[in-house]
Amino acid sequence: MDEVAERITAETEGVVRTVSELTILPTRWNGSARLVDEGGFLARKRWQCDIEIDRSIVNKDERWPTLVHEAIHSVSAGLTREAYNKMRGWEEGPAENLQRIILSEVMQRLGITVDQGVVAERIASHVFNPFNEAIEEIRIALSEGGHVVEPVQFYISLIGIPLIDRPGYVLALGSKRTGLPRIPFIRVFSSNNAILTGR
Amino acid sequence: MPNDKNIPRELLIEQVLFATTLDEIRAARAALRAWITSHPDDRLPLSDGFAMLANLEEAVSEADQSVVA
Repeated sequence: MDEVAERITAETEGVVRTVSELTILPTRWNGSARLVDEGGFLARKRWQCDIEIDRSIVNKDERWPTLVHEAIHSVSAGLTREAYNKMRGWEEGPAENLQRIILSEVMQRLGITVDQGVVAERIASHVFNPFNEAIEEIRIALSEGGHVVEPVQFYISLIGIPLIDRPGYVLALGSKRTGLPRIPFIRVFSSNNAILTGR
Repeated sequence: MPNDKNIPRELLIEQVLFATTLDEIRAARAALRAWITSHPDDRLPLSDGFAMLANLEEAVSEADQSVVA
């Protein structure tokens, strides 16, 4: 393994370990971080639970939010091929929103400073923004009933629940809201669930 | 589904996020590549789409194989 590959493996290990500590969720990452050249993506956690990283970003701050995002996938419960195919937005939306919430804490714990311009550019027009906004609309609707206070708690809870069970978990939370009609929440849930399931 | 490099960005993102069949996934990847080639400044926010499409392609391919088997 060359020097760059060793460094990236060490960085990935640090990010995955810190994400696992912050979320109190076990990781399935197998310890392998492979550098690739032509995937198109910046980084990707594969089904085999290794992480691939595009060689072009090994010295760029772009890698940090991407590694945190992939590390969150590594602690995500019930992330199977079948569930992901049906529920992709229920995985990518919570993962990206949680990445945005915990990135600064992860970087602080690792003693790393990230260019905030890179972070802002990613947030402003990210491909997953429709998923991020859909799950956030559901969270806001739930919070109106007082059941979900902190976004970080909501997204860590979602990531810790098997992917296939996340819509049911959220619907149950909505049903538990006292003193509020259910139909407005069901409308918010249904419209956003259609986006999150890619249907 | 639109798949040429001049489609609006929002339609491209929908094509990527909602791709379901292998044909749709591969068309979305081609459209994403074409878009980033013509809009290189858009690579950072859009490139996670490639990761999702790669994972979906493997998931759908395996499901197809299990149906055949």
